[in-house]
Amino acid sequence: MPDQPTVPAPVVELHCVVKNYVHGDHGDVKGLSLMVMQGELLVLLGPSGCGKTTTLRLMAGFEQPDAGVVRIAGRLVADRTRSEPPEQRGLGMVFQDYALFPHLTVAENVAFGLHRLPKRQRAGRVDEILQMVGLAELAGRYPHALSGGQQQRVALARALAPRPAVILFDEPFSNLDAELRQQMRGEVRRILQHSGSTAVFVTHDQQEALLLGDRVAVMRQGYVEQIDTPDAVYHRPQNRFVAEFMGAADFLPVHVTADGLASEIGLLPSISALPLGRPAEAMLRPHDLRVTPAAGAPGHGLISTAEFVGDLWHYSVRLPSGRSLRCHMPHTDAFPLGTPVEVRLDAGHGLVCFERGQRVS
Amino acid sequence: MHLNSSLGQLLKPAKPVPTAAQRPAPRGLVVASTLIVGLVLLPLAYLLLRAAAAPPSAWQQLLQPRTLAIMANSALLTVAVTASSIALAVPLAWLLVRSDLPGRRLWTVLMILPLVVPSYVGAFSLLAMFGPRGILQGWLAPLGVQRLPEIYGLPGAWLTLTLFTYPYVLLTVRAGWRRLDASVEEAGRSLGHGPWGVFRRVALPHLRPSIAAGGLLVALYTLSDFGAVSLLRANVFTQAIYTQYRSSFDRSYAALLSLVLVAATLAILWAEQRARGRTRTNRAHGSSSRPLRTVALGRWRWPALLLVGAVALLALALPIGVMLDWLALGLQRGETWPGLGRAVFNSLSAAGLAAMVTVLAGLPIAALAARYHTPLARVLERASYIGFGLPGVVVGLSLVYFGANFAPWLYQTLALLVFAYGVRFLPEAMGATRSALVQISPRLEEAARGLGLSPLRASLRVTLPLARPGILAGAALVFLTVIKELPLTLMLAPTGFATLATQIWSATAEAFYARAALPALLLLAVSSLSVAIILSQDRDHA
Repeated sequence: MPDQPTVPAPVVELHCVVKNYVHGDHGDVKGLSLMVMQGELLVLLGPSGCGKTTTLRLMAGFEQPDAGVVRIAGRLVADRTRSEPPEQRGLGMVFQDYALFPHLTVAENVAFGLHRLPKRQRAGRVDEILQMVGLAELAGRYPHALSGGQQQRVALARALAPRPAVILFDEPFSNLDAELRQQMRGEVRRILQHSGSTAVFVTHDQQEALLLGDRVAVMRQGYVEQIDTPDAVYHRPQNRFVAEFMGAADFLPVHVTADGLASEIGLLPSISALPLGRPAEAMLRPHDLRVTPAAGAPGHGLISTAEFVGDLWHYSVRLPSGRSLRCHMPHTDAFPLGTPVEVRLDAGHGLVCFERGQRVS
Repeated sequence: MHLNSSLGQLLKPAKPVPTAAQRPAPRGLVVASTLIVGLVLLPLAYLLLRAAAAPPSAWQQLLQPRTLAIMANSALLTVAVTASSIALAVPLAWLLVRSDLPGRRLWTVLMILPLVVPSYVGAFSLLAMFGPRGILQGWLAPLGVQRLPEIYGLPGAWLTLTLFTYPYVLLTVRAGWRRLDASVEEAGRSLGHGPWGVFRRVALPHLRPSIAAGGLLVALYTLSDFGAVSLLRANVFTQAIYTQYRSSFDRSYAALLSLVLVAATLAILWAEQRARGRTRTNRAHGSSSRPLRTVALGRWRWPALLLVGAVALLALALPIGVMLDWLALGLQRGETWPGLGRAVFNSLSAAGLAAMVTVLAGLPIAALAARYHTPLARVLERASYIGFGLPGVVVGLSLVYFGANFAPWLYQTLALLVFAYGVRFLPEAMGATRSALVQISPRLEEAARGLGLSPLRASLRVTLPLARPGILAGAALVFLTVIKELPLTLMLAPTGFATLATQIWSATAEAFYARAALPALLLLAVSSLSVAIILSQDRDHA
């Protein structure tokens, strides 16, 4: 890529895309617009059936939209009337089950998409890619003789080899065990950055999304709820759905007073967007709260459950209203059940409030 | 277990159950299995003895041009039938699995159904249509046509065997298509290959073992077929062996021919192992596999319908129509079918007896193969498949000699006939029982033991009821195969013991087509049940 544009250009563009399946609405896409920028890693995140895989398959050309358009590098590739077949779109894809060709060796799998390259350049390209993913010595093996992580790397190498404009990943790590998944996430991110690739990941794992994405698109029932940096979708979720999907959160009713936000756990720091007297809900994540034993006093509430997970204690504090707040404390802070405690906000970042489910600050 | 996989399992030893330990097998099971395998090996062993004792003249005969012509004809017929079956079945399988052909479910049944037409019934219908004194000549006679092109010989046999054996390939290839993951095809597309490129470079290599397995069944069927080649007078091994057996007092030559035929069978088995290749199926795990997408045929659906229609016409409508026509003609002429009731009774009782004996004989070997992975168990299991490599005429010939020379009290008894059926069809019963047992976790038996049951009572109260559907399916398969069986019945049946199969054969051989029509229709009706079994098992798996 000799002349990289200084202003990032959209490589893939979906505009008002609709895709309805005949049976039920599981996986339907109901009107979705998003852009994938040159060189970025975009993650489509959402619960099962939210349409994230459908979105990926619309980009790849395995599905045709019922309405809207799909553009790749500015070129119209699909609308309601026509859909360019996948082999002409120049996109790479890594499948959930890797979909390696069982009758071909690792090198032959990687060379599969290089048929447009002059013959004598193919072997060199295969070597180069296998070096990059660290599989050079396994070039002659068949897929069934590889471990899960190795198969994953072959799938990635195979998709990278033809230098696709974008690589699409469909839940690529879901078949690996926890430790290997951790390791492969980092490695795949390193390889993609090293090769300057543009990529779209589909996952239902919010941790994976935060770790991999330059941007994360949180989806629900066929719509994008929010598309933003990992930091923003976690700390400044657009609505309660995104807030809860991105990690454990409790929502405590507050109302605005001149001194701050009045709540069951005392005054919380004020936020400017809300007028006086207005009721709202403050988002409290477990690691934003601290509990301390209320020496002699009744405190804000009582410890109602206590779970030791090794590095942390997971507490839940029952407030007089019947609500519970979850709070994570260091492993050294052990409190017996029923201890009256004070709850204190110690977030280190601004408070986020919601009104009728939508963020107001 | 559906037929395709069960056929595959019949041909290769079972994969060990991962949980089964290398325990020693109970002695009773080993002794019973060894005895049964010993009995099954008897015909081949006796044939080898006969061949060893054959005079030099018989060996010289083996190198004469006449023998070489038989070999060449057999090879040609086998290759031609296998090739044309594959050429017909692979496109059909694609249409039935991957395309939006209108009425696919119905066409699937219709395309598999020709399997139930025994080759000699197929040959009978072709002769009754196109042969001398056949229907076509009757139509053309007023126009002054005296002779029709020759139907006898290799071309007729090729056509008949192709029409009635291609469903073997259809079944295996259809199953192969279903095992292909959509994502593997999609990966090919995303790497820049068009639909045809993906078919050639991804799907075809995936289908190769299925094509080889189906082709193997067709080749073995063709090589061992007796009915069609005899009625159509094609000069191949089985027909030559039978002619020798009937006409000559020196049976050494026939014994040597039989051994060459067995060797040819082994060569085909070896070729199939090679053709299967190094491909290993690497199925996706988890729920990610998507159903294969069907391809819209568009205007191509008309030629596609023409193809399936033509096959259904030739392989189904023609035989049934011809039989009905001759039946009507027979009724008009006041034809009677003496002994038909007796033949039906004989067919049913011989087949019922054979099914029972064969399933019982298969039980210990199946239990040994499914539960114990000792080397001896493996050897015994493999050896029990020998019936697959022994064409009916070969087993028949060997047992005729054996009975006549060593066991005159057995010769021409129902017991020897049932024994012969058992040798031939043990793999069917054993394979079905074994795959039923393999699917039952040994943990269940252990749970029963833990609740205080003895090993025998645990088997009877837990394993057997669970395996019953599989065992019954095996019995049904043997029953239906025996009903259709011809050469063993011809050679070993007690004098005067006529069955539906032998009645059709003798009536057709003498061109009494009207007399053959009724038993042939009855036979077809009974055999159709086997497709019902195949399809019901297929559905369980789909």
